[in-house]
Amino acid sequence: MRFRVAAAIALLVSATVYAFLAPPTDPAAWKAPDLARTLFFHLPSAFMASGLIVLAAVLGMRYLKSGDLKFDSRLGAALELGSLFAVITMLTGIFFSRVQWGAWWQNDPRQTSFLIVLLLFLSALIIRAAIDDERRRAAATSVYALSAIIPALFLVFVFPRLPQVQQTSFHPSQTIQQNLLGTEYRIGVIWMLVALIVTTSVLYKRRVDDEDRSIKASRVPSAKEIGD
Amino acid sequence: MDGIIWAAIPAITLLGGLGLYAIWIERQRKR
Repeated sequence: MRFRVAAAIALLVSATVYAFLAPPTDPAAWKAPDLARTLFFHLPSAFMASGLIVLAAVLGMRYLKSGDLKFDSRLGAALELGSLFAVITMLTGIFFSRVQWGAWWQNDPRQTSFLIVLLLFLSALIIRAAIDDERRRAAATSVYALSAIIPALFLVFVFPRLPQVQQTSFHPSQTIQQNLLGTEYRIGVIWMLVALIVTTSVLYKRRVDDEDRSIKASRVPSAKEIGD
Repeated sequence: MDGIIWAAIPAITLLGGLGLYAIWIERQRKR
């Protein structure tokens, strides 16, 4: 565990340093050329949020198939981390929008669609917080995570590629889809993504271990265990 | 040098967010 924590910190620090050292972009295209570095923090966070909503659906399905509460604690951790990355994506995007496009919020289709993804995550956390009984909470969250994956996949992967959205959106989705990102920027994004995957795995494991301990502590021992 | 602030704010948002979550889960463990 210590090695993984050290690796996570080293990767995060090095990816952040790289983000500041990467060569600046064409000053003519930007209100502030260093603003392009937002990409190193914004894009990997969006990838993580998208990946974690898929993971949440898989864990929800596994709980519903097995009834094992360990999948519920994993589902809870995935939803918390997914919400965190969705909030980070939203905040960095809003800040970029203010500086580059002149408004915190401008009803850009990508901004609005990702807001709905964020609300899907936050609704899951509200459901978890609202139900005390752990079995009911696990079932409700699992069903929700499975239901939410359909609109989430549409909003993340289909909606941004609709021609009418691409024509009206300020969001530079095509730069990434058509592989127009410079090599230095691609390296920086992948580096940060690896750092976030390692960091997330550390935080996820730490959170799941804690939840598993509390499940064991609250579990009523079986008749066989009492007999032993 | 002035422009670096535009990159520092997103960096602080990401690292700060992860740091705060790490602190929160450690506090939850101690309960």
